[in-house]
Amino acid sequence: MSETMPSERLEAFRSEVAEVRIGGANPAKWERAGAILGPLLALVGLVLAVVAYSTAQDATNFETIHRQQVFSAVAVCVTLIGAVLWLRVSITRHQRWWMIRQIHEQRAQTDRIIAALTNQDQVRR
Amino acid sequence: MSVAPTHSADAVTPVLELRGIHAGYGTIDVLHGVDLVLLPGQVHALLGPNGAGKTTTLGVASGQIAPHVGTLSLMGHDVTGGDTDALARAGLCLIPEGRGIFPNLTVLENLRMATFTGTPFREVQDRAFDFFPRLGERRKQTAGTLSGGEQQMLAMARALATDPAVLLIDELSMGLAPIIVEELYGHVRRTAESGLSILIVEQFVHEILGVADVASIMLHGRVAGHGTPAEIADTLHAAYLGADGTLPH
Repeated sequence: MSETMPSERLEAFRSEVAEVRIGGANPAKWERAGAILGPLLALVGLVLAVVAYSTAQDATNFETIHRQQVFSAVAVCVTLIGAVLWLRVSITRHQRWWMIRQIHEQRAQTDRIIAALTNQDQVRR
Repeated sequence: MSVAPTHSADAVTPVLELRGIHAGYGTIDVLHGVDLVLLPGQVHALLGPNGAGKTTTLGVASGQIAPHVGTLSLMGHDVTGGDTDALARAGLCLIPEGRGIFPNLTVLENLRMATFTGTPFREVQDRAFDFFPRLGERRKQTAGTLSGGEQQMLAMARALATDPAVLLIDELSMGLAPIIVEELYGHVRRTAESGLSILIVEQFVHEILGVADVASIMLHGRVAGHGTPAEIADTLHAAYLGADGTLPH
């Protein structure tokens, strides 16, 4: 067996793995939740805003109208939060997909260039 | 040679330990109860034919594949299902099969990727070019246009620059000429001499005979034998070809 690595590095490794979160944040789970929760919040907020608007229209006293206005503002906020969440998850997924595509395409392109250069070398010889 | 790896008698805490691992892809299990122990400063070779489950085992060991059953422990801590990035930052480093580099980036840009642990770029460069002077000569070259051996050197340089505590290497010899493989394993030997714990997956035992302290052979998703590389070498061809119908034991 090789000489054991410096004990301070092993100790640092021990202390760092002791702090690793078990079954913690799983990006895929977060994304799935965001992809469902985002549109849901946007839709619920929109429905609530319409309901509040409609109730305010039918109301005859200022107190009810004011309450519905506040309720409507909260509903619009919920819609915005949902939309932002949805957008964030969608952009992340799209960017990731784009990055993977770029890597694959550029890798294939590099392979083609290397193959072409190799062929050129062989022809010259 | 024993069938399953066991703890050493002096009760040294393994740097990495897999216990009863069942894992795979989707509903398909590839590993059927893998036990593996990597002790501090040890170079452990994991051998086996195509489809034996070696790469999946490395996937589990690096935290990238969550096992259905079984535990992954690092320095005695159960980290099964732990954050992969946290494990990498702690010092668990995988050099994947083939080209684990960005082919469209230059050597320097690839090395910059190794600064995620907080190591200054200057230090990363110094370590890389000190270990692989040839990369220093090609620092501005696009990584995809390097030779296969140089690409592997770059992958190793990037891994070593992060000051790992455990190094997992998958098929270092894949697609490379024997003379290049010999050179690369010379680098692995030098790395091992610094005391780093290394788990290497290989298909052919002769490639790592002079490097590994112990070797395990995998067949059909199980560790079928464990011993010194020389012991494993004696039974490897029989295990691969089923020459006498028995597994090493």
